[in-house]
Amino acid sequence: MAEKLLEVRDLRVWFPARTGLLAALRGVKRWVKAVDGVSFDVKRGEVVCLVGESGSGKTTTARAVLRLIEPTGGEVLFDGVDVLSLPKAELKRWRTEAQLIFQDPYESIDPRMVVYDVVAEPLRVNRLAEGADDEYDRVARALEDVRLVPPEDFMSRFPHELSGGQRQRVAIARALILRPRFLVADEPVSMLDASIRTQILTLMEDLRREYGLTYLYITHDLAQARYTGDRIVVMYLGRIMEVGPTEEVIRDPLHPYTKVLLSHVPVPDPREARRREKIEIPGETPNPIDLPPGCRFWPRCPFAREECREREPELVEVSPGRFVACHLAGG
Amino acid sequence: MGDEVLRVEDLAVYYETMKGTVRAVDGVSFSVRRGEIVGLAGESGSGKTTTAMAIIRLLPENGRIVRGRILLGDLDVASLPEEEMRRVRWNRVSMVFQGAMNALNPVLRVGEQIGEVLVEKKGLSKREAWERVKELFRLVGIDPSRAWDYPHEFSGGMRQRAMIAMAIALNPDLVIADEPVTALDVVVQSRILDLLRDLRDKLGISVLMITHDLSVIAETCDRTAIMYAGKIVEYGDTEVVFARSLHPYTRALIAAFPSITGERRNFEPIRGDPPNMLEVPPGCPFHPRCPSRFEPCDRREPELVEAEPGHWVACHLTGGG
Repeated sequence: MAEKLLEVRDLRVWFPARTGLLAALRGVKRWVKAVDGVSFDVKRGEVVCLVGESGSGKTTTARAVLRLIEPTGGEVLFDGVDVLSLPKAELKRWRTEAQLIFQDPYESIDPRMVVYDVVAEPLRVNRLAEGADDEYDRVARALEDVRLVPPEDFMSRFPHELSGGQRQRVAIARALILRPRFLVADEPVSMLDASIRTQILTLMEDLRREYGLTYLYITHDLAQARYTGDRIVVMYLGRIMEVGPTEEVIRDPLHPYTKVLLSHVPVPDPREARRREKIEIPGETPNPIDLPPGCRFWPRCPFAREECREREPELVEVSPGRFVACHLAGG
Repeated sequence: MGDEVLRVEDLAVYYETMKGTVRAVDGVSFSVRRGEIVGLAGESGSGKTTTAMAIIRLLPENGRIVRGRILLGDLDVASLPEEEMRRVRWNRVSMVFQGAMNALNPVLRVGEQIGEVLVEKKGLSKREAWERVKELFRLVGIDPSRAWDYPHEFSGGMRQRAMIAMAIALNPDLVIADEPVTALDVVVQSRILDLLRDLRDKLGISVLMITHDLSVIAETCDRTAIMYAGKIVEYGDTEVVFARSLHPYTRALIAAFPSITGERRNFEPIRGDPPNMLEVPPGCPFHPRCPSRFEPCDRREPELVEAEPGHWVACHLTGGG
């Protein structure tokens, strides 16, 4: 059994850009390179956090990995199998092994269905229950898994009769009922209150241990990533800037973008907040159309040099397990 | 203190709903001094936004102020007729909303919208208003040449800056900022918070910051009130509230916020859900979720008492009640 459960190689997701009439007449085709040559892997039982601001391509990457968006190019290997070349029937079977948890539970929960049906639906669609008793047992088990106990109390409720935290638990139960090995969680707690957030994060961690799950966790919040991930992948404008073990990246970031980002993350400690120094950079994240040549970050980078404008740095391993795409850090 | 721009005393705001009366805010008192940034922090249902909406008198139709005073200087706006309130709003108290895109009119140029407020509320000529708009843009860090842009031509951060420009246009005594950075990216977020602090330092504006995010509070607020189920449970200097929290809810809430600094500690989740505001638990509203509850907590409601100078808490553990 390979150590890596998921291998993403040179993944690209380009969308045709809406262009002006003139460009269209000239036949100029422009692309929004939402994801542009992204490679990383996730080991069995590991939690990898994809971190980035809006426009970084983190969500597009996650959806392309699950083939909810068809990638423009690259490879996605799951347990050694090339997901991108799976024919439809096999893709459907594979999807029972890899599930998605959304930010807004209502994206996966039909508000007109009662909890029992919401959770049972994946079993029915995939014809995996052996009769009504089996279905009931599995639904009950899935609700117990997410600590909605006793499950009978929740089965006939409608989503609007649940609290925000309970709804996200139902969404997780629905994702778990097919006994997947791999979960992609896209900002699963960012709409929840702080006290509920920690409950859901603790639950996800417990479930990972109980079932040996592997997570790809998408978040814009580095502080949350610190508490969630074994490793962090930092993205900017469709490219990976830095990869490394979570604590090392947080304490000793190597890429200028990671340094900038970390310096601006607010901290829940007034004394610490006053002590910290922010690294100022110009502008805001540009649109991933018309990207600058060279490193994507150079126009805003406080340390940019001549070569940064000319050559795009490769993601290279600068010390064991630590990868950086920056000319200054040895890329 | 004579220096207070806002003093809220025993404010209660109820909503009439199909299911019954919601006591969204029930006996809240606090103040904002000139040049001070005060945070009202809490989770959903805590009453923080209702408190803000009551102060600027933009409550939904089913909401009403049933008790208490809202003093802007000497003027009690809690009972002010709407007609008079219209002269107070923007002139003496203004608001920065969370979604700047929704607050700005998409078909009007940004500078025009702010200019209009100046012409209408301050009686400036068009020319004077235009000069003032350019000055305001410089103050909030937008190139004045962008004043002719439409809102959609602005980035999220610039729209929020424009909202702040509008909020300070008439030199109000108090700016209410309701989750002003919630949907913004990290770097943009921190710049907007810096801007608010800068404006406070330069112009002496006073800000009431409404947020669910204790990191935002820690970064910006001089004093902080923590709200739960329509009440203030702890109130004091931000540093004191964080470093010497007395209320178990404050402590649990702070612990629920991960930090990139310090040691990585384990989460200790707060059990249960925030209360259903139609059936607020008797006694201390936090008691069903409180790890330190004891005998009186489910029967008697603790009063907000001054545990040390300037540091208030409503908890039986510290003798409240």
